[in-house]
Amino acid sequence: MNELAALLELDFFRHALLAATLASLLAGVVGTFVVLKRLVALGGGVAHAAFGGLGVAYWAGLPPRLGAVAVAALSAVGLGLLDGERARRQDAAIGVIWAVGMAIGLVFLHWTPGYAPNLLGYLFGDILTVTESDLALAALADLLLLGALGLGGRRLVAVAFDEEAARVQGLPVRLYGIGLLLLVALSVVVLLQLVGIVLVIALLSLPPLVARRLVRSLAATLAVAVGACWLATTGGLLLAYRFDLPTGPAIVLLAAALLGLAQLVHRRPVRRAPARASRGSPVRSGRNRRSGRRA
Amino acid sequence: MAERAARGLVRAVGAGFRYGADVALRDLDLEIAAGDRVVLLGPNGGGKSTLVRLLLGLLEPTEGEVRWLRPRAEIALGYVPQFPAFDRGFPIRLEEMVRLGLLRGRRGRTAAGESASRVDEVLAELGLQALRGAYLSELSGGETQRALLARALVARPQLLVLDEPTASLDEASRRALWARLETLPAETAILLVTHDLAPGTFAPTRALFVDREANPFPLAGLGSHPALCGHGHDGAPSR
Repeated sequence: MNELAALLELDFFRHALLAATLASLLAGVVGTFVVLKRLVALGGGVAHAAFGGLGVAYWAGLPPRLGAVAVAALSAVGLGLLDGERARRQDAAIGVIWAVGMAIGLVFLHWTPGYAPNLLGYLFGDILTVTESDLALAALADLLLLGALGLGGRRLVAVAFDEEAARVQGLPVRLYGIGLLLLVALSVVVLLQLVGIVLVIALLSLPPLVARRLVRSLAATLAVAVGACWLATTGGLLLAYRFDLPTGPAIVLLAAALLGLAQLVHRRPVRRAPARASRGSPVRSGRNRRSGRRA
Repeated sequence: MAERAARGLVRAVGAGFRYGADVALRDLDLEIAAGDRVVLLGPNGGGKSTLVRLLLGLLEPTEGEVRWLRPRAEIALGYVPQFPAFDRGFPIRLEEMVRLGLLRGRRGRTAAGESASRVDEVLAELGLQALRGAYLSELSGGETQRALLARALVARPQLLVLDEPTASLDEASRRALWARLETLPAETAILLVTHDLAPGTFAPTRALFVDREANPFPLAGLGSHPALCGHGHDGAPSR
């Protein structure tokens, strides 16, 4: 306990905790939509493409984060335009930008005179090195997210749930789709400070998967995903300190452990849903039926 | 004629669609106006669903054009697809799904109180009150079909498009569906794709035979409704 109190005295540790909290809101909420819309591969592609932007910006003497944001946003929107009947092309395009982004980043890193430690930090992340500008970016991203949800949350849910029906209803499906992809790009850039480009997709997918195994409604899924992400990031930070581990992998492994625990809890006995109990028909999903036999 | 033009909702002129080199539909000339009851008949794979998706704007015609005859934002559409595009594992309850059907365009919000009462009304009409809190993954095929109908009806559509709506329904639910359609306002246009047009079910004002091997053409003999039951082949095409 004294050790924790001593840690909290340190500026860099308090920054890291704040970064973990700010990023958890972003990762939990955006990640839930990423998982529900099956955009996990797209998120991975965008994260790796962002590395190309980092490399070019670093080589050009610009803020690396600027290059990452620009390339992440462009690649997310570009991939998003290849939707619908062009899904197979999108899948192939994800592979292309994934590999080419990494290659461009590495080439420009090679061309940059001297050693580029910050760039390698982006690859594997280091939450202990977050700066005040990193925190400002994370806070700005959270504000944008909350604003977007406040203005069009229900419409975003409608589009995420059933794009075809939303289009028939006259909702601006493309606008909301691109908005979601831009939020994915922004999340990638914020999260790469915590766990790095290589592991960023884990924070967008593991916490929502934990939530999906514990709760059922969308609101609860969002809340639990945010909580699971916070638990993984702060817990991973403490584990990394305690056992002298790299922070990014420690965070991801803790998130994976949470998923394992959630999977165990998920195999619970069948519960009857009150909504259908009235007609004498217990509600059982396929998974619960299986767990019912085990119980 | 002028009166019909004033009631017009959507018009296809020489519209066609190809999936790559495959022609799915060609030379479609069709106008749907308020109050029309149109049935689409034809063989499986004949292009009926493609026609529906063209009219709804879900597909862009590769030939000809499809255009709305009123500002799109003023036309409320209801659509029950043959195969829903959503993931049944999406964490949403039936009631919430139906409420999403009230969303319209960029503006056009519905007052919260009105939306709640309208959702209650539609759920009651379709006998779905007991299922309102159920998640979609808990619904049977027939219950899902009724939920889709509820979502399509909740916004009081001017054009209701039903693509094989009875495919997953038992006999009682089918009868309930046909009875529900009878109670819709007379000005509601209905476009129905079905293989289940028995006498006493749905009374179309027009029928269209759709087969990718030929241009869509109207069927005569609507007065002798049973003649349409053989999926249109015996319906004395009037070309």
